[in-house]
Amino acid sequence: MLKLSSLSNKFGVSHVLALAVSVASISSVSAQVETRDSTGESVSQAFYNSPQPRVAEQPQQANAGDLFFEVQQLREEMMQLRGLVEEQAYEIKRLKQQRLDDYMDLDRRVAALTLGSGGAIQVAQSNQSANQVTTDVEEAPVNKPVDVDPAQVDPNAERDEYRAAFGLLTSRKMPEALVAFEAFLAKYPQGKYAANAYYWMGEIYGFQGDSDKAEAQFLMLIQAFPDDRKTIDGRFKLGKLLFEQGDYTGAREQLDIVAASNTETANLAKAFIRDNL
Amino acid sequence: MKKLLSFAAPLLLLVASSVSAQLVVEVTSGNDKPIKIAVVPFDQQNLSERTDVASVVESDLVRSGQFVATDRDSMLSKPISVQEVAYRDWRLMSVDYLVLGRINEQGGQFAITYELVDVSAQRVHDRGITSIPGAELRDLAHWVSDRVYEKLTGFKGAFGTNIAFVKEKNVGGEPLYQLIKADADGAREHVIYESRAPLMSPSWSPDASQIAYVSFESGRPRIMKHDLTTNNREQLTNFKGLNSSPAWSPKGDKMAMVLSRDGNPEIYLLDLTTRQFTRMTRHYAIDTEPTWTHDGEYIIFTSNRSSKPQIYQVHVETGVVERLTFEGEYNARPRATLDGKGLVFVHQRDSVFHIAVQDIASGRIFVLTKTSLDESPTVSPNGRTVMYATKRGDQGILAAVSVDGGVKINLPASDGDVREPAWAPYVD
Repeated sequence: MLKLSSLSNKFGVSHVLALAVSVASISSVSAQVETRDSTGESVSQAFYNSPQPRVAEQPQQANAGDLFFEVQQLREEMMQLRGLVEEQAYEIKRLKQQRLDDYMDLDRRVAALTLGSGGAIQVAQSNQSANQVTTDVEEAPVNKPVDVDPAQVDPNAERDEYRAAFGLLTSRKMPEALVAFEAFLAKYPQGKYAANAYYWMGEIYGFQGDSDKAEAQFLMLIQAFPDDRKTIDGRFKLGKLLFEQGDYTGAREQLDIVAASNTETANLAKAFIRDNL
Repeated sequence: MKKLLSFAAPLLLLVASSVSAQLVVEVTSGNDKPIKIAVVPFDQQNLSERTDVASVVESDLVRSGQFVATDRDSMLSKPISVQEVAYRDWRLMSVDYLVLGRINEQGGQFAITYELVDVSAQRVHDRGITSIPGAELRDLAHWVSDRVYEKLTGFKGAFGTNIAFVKEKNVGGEPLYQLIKADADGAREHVIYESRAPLMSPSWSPDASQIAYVSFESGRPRIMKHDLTTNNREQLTNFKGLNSSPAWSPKGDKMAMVLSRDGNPEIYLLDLTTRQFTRMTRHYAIDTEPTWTHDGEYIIFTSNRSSKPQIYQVHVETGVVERLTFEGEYNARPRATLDGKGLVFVHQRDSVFHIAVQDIASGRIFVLTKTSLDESPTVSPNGRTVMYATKRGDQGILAAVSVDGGVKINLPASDGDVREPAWAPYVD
């Protein structure tokens, strides 16, 4: 109140002073007036209705004085309570908003996750069937394993095992799917579904929140199968992971490659770069 | 939010010291990436007035904090037209833009031609010619500043606008109160009215032709209306008790004010045509310091109805009251920002009074000033700057800060205590 008092010294009566003056002094004027109003209503009502209508003036005056202070006290308390109510109402509003924001954020993330993997599953399946067609019609894909003798490998066995692992994934048995893909990769490190297996392992780790392992998986995919069509999807996911971890340059590097590719994912990458980088 | 650079020791930039002491502007903290500009002395020989236009332009621009100026003495050449510009010289000094100008006078009226030259592109960025009837050279200078500012920052300049404030001087051992109108840079002080009794709370009419204020000349406060063109004064209120804080509505047809005629300070609305009073607030606490939102829909005011001074708004149409500030124990003297999204007010933090701005939607408060005892904020008509009253030593001075808090300046000291600045609206 240092400021106010120094100002009020200068201005005498002023609005500044008015604020500085405690409520008591200002309200006292009107309080006296209104005391009479309320007298009729409340305390004195009982007073007048009491069996002894004539009471000595002394106590009545004392009563008026008491009332005055009581009203004053009530007013002050009322103002404090009002302040409290206003602040709490504000706090509640703020908290509600915050809760809503948090929920929306969570909802958005979950939606992104489910949509992200769900969408990718469909893409993967169509990829897979596309692969299927080529394998069925012709012979084997371009980067056909060299170290495995095709004669000794039942091409259907590899496909079936991959499908089994993928089935676990689609039925949301993540840990089992992880084990299955791992086993699959151990058996067919250069198999025609190996790239897909790396990709899905990356996705599962990402889904489980283990971004380091997810990144490692995508990197292995990129290294082992630089030309596989799944690698583009892997790069996109890697780019997003890096972005989430704040490595914008790294993210940009991957996403630029994806964006430059002639794939459907390129559009996703372009949109992501446009919106976020 | 622009990253702002606060210097450990306040940087004192003395600008245009050669012109006149009245115009010394202190930039106490500045923008971290200002535009480098060189305002070359204008060709203004044989004029009836002597004001150094280029230096006024320079100090205007520097005061905005968005510019740093090249010292005149270090200019390698002083071209007065684009043909004379040797771009190499200016590139060497890493100047971004040049301001050139020529002024002539015909029949007592000045005409100015100015060019804003982009040094790196080696071309004229803007060129303008004007002649304002009755204008002094300083008006032309502010015109150039406004134009350069708008071209380079995208915001309308407010250098040509006025401010009003109250000055208290000691004359013959007695205080003398003056209501002053001045340029936005504090220059050209003009006394509108003076009195031995206190004057307070100047408020501009929206067309800047009138000022309302509180005068104690009769011994008690009255709200007066002062026509700046005719110098006519008119008493608007003379009620028992308080008559204070007039605030002209954005349309100019009404005035909000504080009266205590019904017992304690309440906000009232005076219809300036019908002279009818409407009571806007009804509370046994103190309601004071009304101000308008720019759309004229709300009156924002200070009230201690929650036992501490806080800022509220009342919807003019419905009378619904809503609290706006929640942080801190003291928030008062509100002013709405231009976009209506913010609120500028005096905010107490750590027992010190600062000027703060609050984003109404989020409720976030951003403290703009670092000094103590800052009071009476007023927002520039382009919404870029907040001017306020503060203390330097014992003297009341005016200071200004950009709404993002990046740039702070002290206005030149006057010959007395100055307080309660009120920034005038644009004059169309």
